[in-house]
Amino acid sequence: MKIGSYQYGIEKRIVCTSFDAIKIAALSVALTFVLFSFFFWLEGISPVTGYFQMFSYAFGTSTGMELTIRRMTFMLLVTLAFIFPQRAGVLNIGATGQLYAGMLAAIGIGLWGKSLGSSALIPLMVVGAILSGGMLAIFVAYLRAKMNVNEIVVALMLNSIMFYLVKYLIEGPWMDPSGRPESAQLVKAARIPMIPGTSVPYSIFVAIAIAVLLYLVLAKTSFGYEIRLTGANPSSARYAGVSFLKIALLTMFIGGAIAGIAGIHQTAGIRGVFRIHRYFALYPGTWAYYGIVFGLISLSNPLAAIFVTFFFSGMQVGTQALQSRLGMGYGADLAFVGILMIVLVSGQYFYHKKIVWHKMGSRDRKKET
Amino acid sequence: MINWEFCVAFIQASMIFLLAATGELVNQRSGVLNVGLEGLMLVGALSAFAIAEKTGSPWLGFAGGMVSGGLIGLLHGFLSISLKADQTVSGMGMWILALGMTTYLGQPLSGPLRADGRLETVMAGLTPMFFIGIAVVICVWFGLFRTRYGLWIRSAGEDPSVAVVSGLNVTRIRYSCVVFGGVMGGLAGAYLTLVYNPVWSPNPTMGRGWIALAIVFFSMWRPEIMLLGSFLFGFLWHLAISPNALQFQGLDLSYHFYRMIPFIATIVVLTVISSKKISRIIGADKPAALGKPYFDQE
Repeated sequence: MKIGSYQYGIEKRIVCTSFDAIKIAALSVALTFVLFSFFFWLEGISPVTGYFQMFSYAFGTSTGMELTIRRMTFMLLVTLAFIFPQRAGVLNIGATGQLYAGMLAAIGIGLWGKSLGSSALIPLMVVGAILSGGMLAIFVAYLRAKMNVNEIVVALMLNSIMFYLVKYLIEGPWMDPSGRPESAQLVKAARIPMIPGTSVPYSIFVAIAIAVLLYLVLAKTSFGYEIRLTGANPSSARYAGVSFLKIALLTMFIGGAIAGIAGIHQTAGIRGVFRIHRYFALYPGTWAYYGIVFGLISLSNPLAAIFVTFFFSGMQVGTQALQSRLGMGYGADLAFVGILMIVLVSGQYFYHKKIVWHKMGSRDRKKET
Repeated sequence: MINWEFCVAFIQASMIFLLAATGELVNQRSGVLNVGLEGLMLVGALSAFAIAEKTGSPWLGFAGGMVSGGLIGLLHGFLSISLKADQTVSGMGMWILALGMTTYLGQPLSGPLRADGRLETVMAGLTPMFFIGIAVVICVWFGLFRTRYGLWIRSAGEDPSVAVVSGLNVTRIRYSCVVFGGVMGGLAGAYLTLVYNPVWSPNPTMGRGWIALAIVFFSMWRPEIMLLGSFLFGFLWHLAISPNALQFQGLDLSYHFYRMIPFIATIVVLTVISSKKISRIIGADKPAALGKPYFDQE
């Protein structure tokens, strides 16, 4: 193909180094920003102003920064919930249901143990969320590994089932005494304390610690090696004596437990109540799907996920600021994630191919993703 | 109690599953998995609703829903056939994009559809779409198993490299099937917002697309079983939203639990069907190349 005085072509890529992969991911993100300008165009806002407003709010103001870090805690946890099983080749689409399970455990234990002290209540809530989120994930993994049932369909069905369970509990037994369709307020002892002087709960450190821990497990332990082997080549892992069932159950349990912790952060850390938004499909269960996208951008690396979720949580907080400041409608931030996901997955084409170009009539070649 | 009214209502509900699953079945028979079925339905639902609302013609609405569904199908085809992308992830992306996009764009339209944009019933409470839906399933069955093009589709899904060797254009066959799947998904969405429940609210499909996807999985990729599956889930879905129709004596459950029925049933049925024993008896027709992009020898 000829554009200007350059000749372009597509050639086969023999080896895709991790640097190439990062380059492709970065270009995909840039392309997504260009495509997302469509929404600004719909609203009659200049994309430059729009993006400036978004990022200046999310990273430039102290309120915005606090919101960004709070959101990042959540996003990092759901991203890790996706990444860890994904390294073993198991897709954890059900983070939404696991998140709900964690939220229910947090609210349930928080409401039940009103009289307990903080030092007993919070560990109980954590254990409850880990068990409930993890068990839900194990159920999916067991059906997948043992009975060969499609894990995506089962996980999505569980998401819907959990949604109605949540709706039942917060419109029924756990309803706010004032009659609003939300759960009753958690007592002070059941809330995760905030970092002094800010409105950021301590759970951010938990999230980062989990990311580092998962990285170490994957990179340094034999369990991590088995996970990576199963993900890279399931049949050779079987020959090496690695049980797929064991790996699938363990990774999914850990993934589900992490999603459950995200549920604690969202209820006990931030709101103290559990509410279903008017646009319930977009809040907060749907946010858990962001984990899939962020997991893909960070190339399933838990350390990279820390930076990726920081950046994109800012982006999401910024979009929501735009929604209130410039009157943009709901759903734009979800659409951004959708575009990003599609662009990223099509960018994987360039893992096997590369674009080459050279000036007409000259012999020296330049290569690019 | 179960009466004709209840039957009509559940048949109407089944049509949503039936139309969407038919497209997905053809799609998967050619070897392309589109898990973004729910997204196709959402896009079809919104564009049909918007067009019917503006023009007052349900038929233009249906056309719009089908065209936009087909376009999304084409995009999925481009990603999964030409770019050989991971079909699961690209389908999920399609769905999330559709969910955000339709919520965002549909906001000004929230509310019921104007009266002349709706489709009237023609016979005993049934709309023309019922007959069209049944006709489409019969055509798809005939097309897949009794025509040459159907054989080509099945061979593209079974073993694309053999299909290529015998002189078929796998890329073109798969594209045509993916676009057909998109059109049917869009039609299912259009049916949802124009006939079944002519109101726009965010996320009108509420998981129906995922159930339709599951129906395809446990239909063993056969249209006749899919037809039965659609009616079964239409029945369960209708039961879930109107539990009073069947009075369970002494069972005083909150309506939330009834809403879970179709989702729980999906897991149970899928598990039973996936077990080795059952799939050996029925003889699963799973397209061997399902979900795998075809890399031509270079």
